[in-house]
Amino acid sequence: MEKTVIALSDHKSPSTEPRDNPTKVFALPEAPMPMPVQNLSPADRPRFSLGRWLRPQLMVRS
Amino acid sequence: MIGMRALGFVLALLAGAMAAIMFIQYAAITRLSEWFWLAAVLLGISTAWLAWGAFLGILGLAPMRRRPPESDAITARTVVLVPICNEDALNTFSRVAAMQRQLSDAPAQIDFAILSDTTSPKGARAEAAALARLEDEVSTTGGKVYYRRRTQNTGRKAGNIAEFIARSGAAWDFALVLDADSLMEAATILTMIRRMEAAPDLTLLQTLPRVVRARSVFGRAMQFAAAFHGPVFTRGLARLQGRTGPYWGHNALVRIRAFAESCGLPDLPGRAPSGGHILSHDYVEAALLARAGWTVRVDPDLGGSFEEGPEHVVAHARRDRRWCQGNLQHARLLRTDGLRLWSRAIFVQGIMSYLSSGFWATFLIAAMLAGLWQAAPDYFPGVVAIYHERIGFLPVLPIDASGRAIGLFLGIVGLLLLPKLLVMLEAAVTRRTRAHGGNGAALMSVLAELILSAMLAPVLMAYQVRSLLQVLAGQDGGWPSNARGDGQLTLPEAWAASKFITFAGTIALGFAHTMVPQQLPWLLPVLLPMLFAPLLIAWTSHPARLKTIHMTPEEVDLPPVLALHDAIFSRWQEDAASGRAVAAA
Repeated sequence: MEKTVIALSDHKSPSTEPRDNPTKVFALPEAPMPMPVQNLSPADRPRFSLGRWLRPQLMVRS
Repeated sequence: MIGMRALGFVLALLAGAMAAIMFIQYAAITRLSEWFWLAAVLLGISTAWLAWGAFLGILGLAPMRRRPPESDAITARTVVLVPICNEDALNTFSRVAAMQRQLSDAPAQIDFAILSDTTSPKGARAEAAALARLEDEVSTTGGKVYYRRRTQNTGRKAGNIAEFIARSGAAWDFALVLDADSLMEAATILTMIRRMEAAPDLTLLQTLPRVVRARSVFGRAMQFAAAFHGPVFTRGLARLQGRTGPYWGHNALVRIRAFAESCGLPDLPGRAPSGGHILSHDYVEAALLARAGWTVRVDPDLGGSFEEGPEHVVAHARRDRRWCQGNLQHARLLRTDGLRLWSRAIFVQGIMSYLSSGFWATFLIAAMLAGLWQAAPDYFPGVVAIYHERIGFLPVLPIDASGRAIGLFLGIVGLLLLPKLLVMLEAAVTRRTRAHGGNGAALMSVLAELILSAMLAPVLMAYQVRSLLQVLAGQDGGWPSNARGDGQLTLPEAWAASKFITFAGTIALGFAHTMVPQQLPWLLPVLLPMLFAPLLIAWTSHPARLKTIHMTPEEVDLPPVLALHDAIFSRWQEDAASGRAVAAA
């Protein structure tokens, strides 16, 4: 899979630990949470298929 | 709830079928050409869609009885996300300052993260300057403020938030997703957190944002409609939602872990407009959360949630173009594996909200063309004539179809008016009208909004039809920045943006006048606003003079967070102006 590289320009904070720092605007903390890409493709077999009723088993037998 | 959905669906279908049948009966005394049949089908679909909207309004008339449970203590860590892209930095950052200061003594950890996708160097410099002001302004006892800017806007807004979650999401439990123009009261934010803490399966809690700070005739009418009718229609929606509620992309609280696990959006195969990045990502994210078994909910009782709206028709149409492309993209997701039926129904409703304009426009064209092949009316058709000639001993009167035409007209107008008039009644009974200037002022506002809506409906329909045709022709509208704030249009600007509507209206009027003059009275309410579209657009973009009309509760009693933001923003603006003056000297 192609990897997307995102250039980031964070606010420059003198410390990585915001709560111990008198500065009030900080860079985002590194606390990753995976976000897997979801499958949005259609179901393999449609749940409702008019064709299934119109073509009963006997008729499709070869 | 399922019964309610089925009832609404059946009633809408019945209304559509009745409209189509009445139209055919009316047309049958002349001759039923193919164009009449097409017009009848389109009228049936469009009427069913109107009836569905009316059903939602009527369903929301009764107040919600049960207040959702809330936890006593707050343990969750929350981050307020403010994704921005080429916005007015000073205004946006002053909103963050107002909310942060309001939350400074909150019994919870609530931080702020400004997620910038701003690309222009000028915009980036403005954000750096506004950030310095924000740093001076924020309370030391309140939540921390984070800022980061992406230089590549992969995935646009949804990608902006996804990048934040992938990088820093584990540092918080909940995220309150805002727009650049959002403002929320501290009390509302805390209530939302308490409700989410009390319901472990709740992963997305949507508020109904109230439009504020509109100044123009158009903006104030939209603002009034959102404040007056919006809550009732949202209650109707809430009664149908079950666990599959809506997500409108902002002013909503999400449970970060569940959102991360379920809402990673792929690009759709192919190129925009049908493929590529999913534009209306919010509907899809709500559907994916529901697919994973989580609850998505809108709580119509939550106040204190605000946004700003477009000030004129052109800005509205620009935003609508993006929504049109995004909603039509959902047609590709209708068969996505595992989605709940109601999620698919929500997709269909989103698609229909744009297709309906196309249906109305095609109905009008088909009805006009049908007039070309219209034969002289036959007042004694078929069996009646035979009876009269051979058997008749009683007088036979001619068939009068005008009753059907008037009945059909009144039925459709009724579907448009009835819900709004019932909302007026509900507001008078519950004394909600007091916040809109009293019963008299509220009634005048409702009537003024109805008249304005009727005048602008053909213009908005024309814009939607153009968007629809552009998307179907494969034109990508992209994601233009929202035009916020003052947006007064001059007549030349309005003409440039709407001359295609005037041309279309002129051609249709000329055709109707020469070829089907009998239809002219029916067509004038549509064609005249099209003809005068530039005038209407320019006029409605001007500041509204009569403040008692379209008054909203926020104008009567300014909410604290809006007042605080006003104070901070005015001060920042004055400082910026004096700074520029010093630099110039």
